[in-house]
Amino acid sequence: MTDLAWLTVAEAAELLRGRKLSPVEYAKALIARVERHDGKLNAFLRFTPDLALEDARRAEAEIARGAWRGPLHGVPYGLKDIVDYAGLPTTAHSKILKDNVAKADACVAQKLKAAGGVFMGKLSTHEFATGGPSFDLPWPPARNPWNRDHFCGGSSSGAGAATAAGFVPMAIGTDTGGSVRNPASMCGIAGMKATYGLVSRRGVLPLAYSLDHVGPLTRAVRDNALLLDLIAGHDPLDPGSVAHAAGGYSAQLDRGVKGLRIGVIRHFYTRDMKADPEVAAGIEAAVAKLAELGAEVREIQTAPLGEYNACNRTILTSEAFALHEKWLRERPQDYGALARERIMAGAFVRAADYINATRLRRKMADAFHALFSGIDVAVTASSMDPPCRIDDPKAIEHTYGRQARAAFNITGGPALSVPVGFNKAGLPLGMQIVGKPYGEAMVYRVAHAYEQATDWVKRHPPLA
Amino acid sequence: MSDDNLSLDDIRKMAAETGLTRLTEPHLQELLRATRTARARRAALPIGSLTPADEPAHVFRLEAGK
Repeated sequence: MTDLAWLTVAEAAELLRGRKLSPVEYAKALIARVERHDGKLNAFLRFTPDLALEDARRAEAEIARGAWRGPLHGVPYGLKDIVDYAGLPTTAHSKILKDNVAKADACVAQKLKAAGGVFMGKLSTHEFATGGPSFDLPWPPARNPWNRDHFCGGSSSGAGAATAAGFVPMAIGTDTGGSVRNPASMCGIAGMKATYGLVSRRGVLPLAYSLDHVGPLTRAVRDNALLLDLIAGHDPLDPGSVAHAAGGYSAQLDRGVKGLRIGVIRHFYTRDMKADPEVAAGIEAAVAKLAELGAEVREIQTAPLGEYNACNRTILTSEAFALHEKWLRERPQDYGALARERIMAGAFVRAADYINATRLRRKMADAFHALFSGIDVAVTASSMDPPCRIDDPKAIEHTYGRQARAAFNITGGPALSVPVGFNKAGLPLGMQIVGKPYGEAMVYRVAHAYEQATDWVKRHPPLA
Repeated sequence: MSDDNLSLDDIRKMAAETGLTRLTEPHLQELLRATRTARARRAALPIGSLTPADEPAHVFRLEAGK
């Protein structure tokens, strides 16, 4: 049988449903893998093998009596540690919340439990989904499975590392300025920030209310669509949730890209920020592949990346400071230095500047979405650089803001990071596929066609 | 106040006025860097393009029946 660590969700579902694979055997294999390797990667902040085996035994009994719940039944997953799982602490990787035991499940955790998923544990994050990678916190930062000396992206660091390392085939992260797509890019997997409001944020510790998204990380695009099929949908208990038709994303993957119109936002990575040559070459090769598959490719223009990023950070830091002000007054020493500095950037933003940023946000989003009258999806860079060393603060500082992800937290539509190869050092490279609001199915369709035409998804990090 | 003119003493005073009274000297250095960064971001916002009709992205909205 295939190494269970590298089963996709779709492959596992078929085996589990057909009783060719036991959920308990599957969970035990992944538990053993985490026990063997996670001491070097720190993907899990709180590993829960007992809960995993409990879920797996329940799934096994249910499937045995014909009560198959769907494609995630018996499939292991992890949650970023800002997502509530009843009875466990939600720490946000911070001393401030180390004893913060969740009283109820987050909406996404409820859905994963109802689908029969096997919960493996809580995953590392940057402190409060913003401050990292940090070595001055109660838990160490997650590392990149492709080379543990390198950064694995963040803030959904553990979700990216655990999925890429074969500890779980799927994980839940969050994305306020790119925090699902950054680890996806850095770890060579797929990470989706769906349309704002499509996935409930109930039970997820906020970073910035108007920019926060909950999103899936998986190795394969089909798996990502399967997970979004489950977690998307209206939640009246989340004030940002939208009552819009959701789901069906995995059913539309195989239609190819022939005749689709793809706009390349090249100025983001050639003019506004000059990407590393290997990153740029990876994106251009992917664009050429999509053209070879029959897509019509043209270059498009939008606002300069710096304007999007300034708008995102002005809103993000203002909202985050409002949330953290009480703790920063009372317990500033209990934050790590990176989170403290990044959140305090909102301390003296004037109300007028915050409101003007939100006015610009609407204007920029309207202008960006108007582009979709002439295209089906857009593609552009994710990170401008390959993963830098995790122990090099200057390199972290230099590369942290060199990204094109926060733009789509501003516009609010779907943006998926997919791998486009590796640099000469063997580290993953990524790009984004961006859709119009609620255009997730089209984004996944393009991503799947590209994935099927390449072999990136078949490559796995060689954990020593 | 321009970014270049913002000093550690200014930040110490601003922090105290805001109630951030427990910040240590290293914390105040962080706050100084963070505030300079925030002001540079503000300068990068193209607010000159806004007209009075440009409303904030999230406006108050009541659903029917409430």
